[in-house]
Amino acid sequence: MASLSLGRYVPYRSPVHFLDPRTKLFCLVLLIVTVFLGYANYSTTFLMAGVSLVLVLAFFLMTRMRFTALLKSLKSLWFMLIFLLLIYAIMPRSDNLDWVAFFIGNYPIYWASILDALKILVRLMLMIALSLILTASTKPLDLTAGFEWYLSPIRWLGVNTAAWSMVLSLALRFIPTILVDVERIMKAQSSRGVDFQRGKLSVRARALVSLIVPLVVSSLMRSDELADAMEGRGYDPRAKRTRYRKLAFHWGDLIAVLLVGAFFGMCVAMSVLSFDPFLEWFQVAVR
Amino acid sequence: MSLAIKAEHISFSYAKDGPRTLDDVSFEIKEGEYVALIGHNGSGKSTLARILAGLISELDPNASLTVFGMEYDKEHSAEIHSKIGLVFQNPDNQFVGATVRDDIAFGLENRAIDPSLMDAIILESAASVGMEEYLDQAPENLSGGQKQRVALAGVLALRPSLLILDEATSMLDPKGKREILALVRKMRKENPSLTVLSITHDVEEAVESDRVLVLAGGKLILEGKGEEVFSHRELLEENHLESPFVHELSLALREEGVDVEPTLSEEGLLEELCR
Repeated sequence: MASLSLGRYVPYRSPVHFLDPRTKLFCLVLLIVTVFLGYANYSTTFLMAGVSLVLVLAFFLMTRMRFTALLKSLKSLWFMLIFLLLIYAIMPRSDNLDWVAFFIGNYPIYWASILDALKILVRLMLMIALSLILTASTKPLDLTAGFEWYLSPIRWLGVNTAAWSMVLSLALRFIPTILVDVERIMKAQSSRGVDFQRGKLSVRARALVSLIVPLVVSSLMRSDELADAMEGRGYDPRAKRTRYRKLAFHWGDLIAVLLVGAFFGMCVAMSVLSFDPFLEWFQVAVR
Repeated sequence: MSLAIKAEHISFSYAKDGPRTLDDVSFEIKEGEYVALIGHNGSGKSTLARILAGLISELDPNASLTVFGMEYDKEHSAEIHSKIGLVFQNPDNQFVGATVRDDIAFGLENRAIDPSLMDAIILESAASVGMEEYLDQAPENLSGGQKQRVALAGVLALRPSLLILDEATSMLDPKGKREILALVRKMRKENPSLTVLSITHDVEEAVESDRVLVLAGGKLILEGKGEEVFSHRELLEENHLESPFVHELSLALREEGVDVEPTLSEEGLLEELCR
């Protein structure tokens, strides 16, 4: 189950860990938007992607996450890259038509297609890395408290946001428990001769059913008992509750928001103004 | 001494016109008493626990249930709830918080207790079950016995007057079981007015109780002191229940002509033998 440890909280005392979850969520949204901005040309796009990458790596070092964890999560993107390359290669283009990388038979593959595919891939990688940093540096409970804070405006529409955030935190709480169930049921079914690894697709699908049905049943039983236990301990979603964990906004949060906000502003300005640093600053014309 | 629970004519069936899970059960539990409710699987004991805890409220019209002198109605149910602590069977399914600390805090949050007071209460109740070093641990890093101790701490933090243990030790290994029982003993020593209702199919757990109730097929078939109840061996056997080991041993010794009174506790048997 080691591969499923992805996205888990990594206890450590780093500046990123100390930030308020609301700050981190806000910064994450800004940074993801930044990553997906379009720029004047490829060189600027990749320059900005490089800058973002440096930022992400800095966060990574700060939070003491293992790079292997990141690489593992990015491994599945290979398929994505091939898929994107295919799409872009097949799609007819109207721009950069003189810039052919190579021919397959008579069919030209443009550099622009390859670069576009790479661009999307880099964006996805950055987005995944950013999300991983958030979940690694924030306790699930704090994260749900942060979500709840952002959802609080819709409380005025009669939505019980506290109950929704309880649902979310219970879901997070039970992921490890249910993973243990998955392992246990798989072992039990394997010992009865079910093979989850080999066989034709139809055979494997049937094997999967033998996992899913008991899993759903046991999860429903768990939730039933959990509901009793929660009610027995006085939980009433409509009643007034206090909060043990309080979110607190510190100076560090303000600095983080300002820094990320400034970076975001700079990138948006560059994007909107189609600013090309290579032309303006480096005095070179590269395409 | 006042009554903790007074239950009269409790009947219940899950399906309308279905078989009765509980059939006209009446009993009383005094304040400060330790009562064991034993019964085989499907005897209705967990249903009874859920009724006593107010988790099932649709009772038969003839039934009457008062807890600490209060009827279970809209007016009192919140107050009754605040007096009852429940520990269930499965350690995983009652662990609500992401860490031990958060789990103990869960009950306090529900009672709208001032968060600035919570840390002290959490530390105190964790210490009383010996879990103070695990406060920031997640449930997946704890053993079943440890999780059950956290459940007890969560209950303790709310200072209940009635503790209901619904098969609280049945999923634990012998060591975990002993630890939980020792903790309950300690809790009663520190607070003699604490009423404990232990619901179990393990007759050995009944040894420590002041009184034993036996439930079979939804009916209360036996009630009384442990020695008395376990002397009805045939009736118990009919209902798939055994006597505790020490009791069996004392009876077997009597049959062999040794002059001992039937007893439930090891110490009691030793005294009888040394007499």
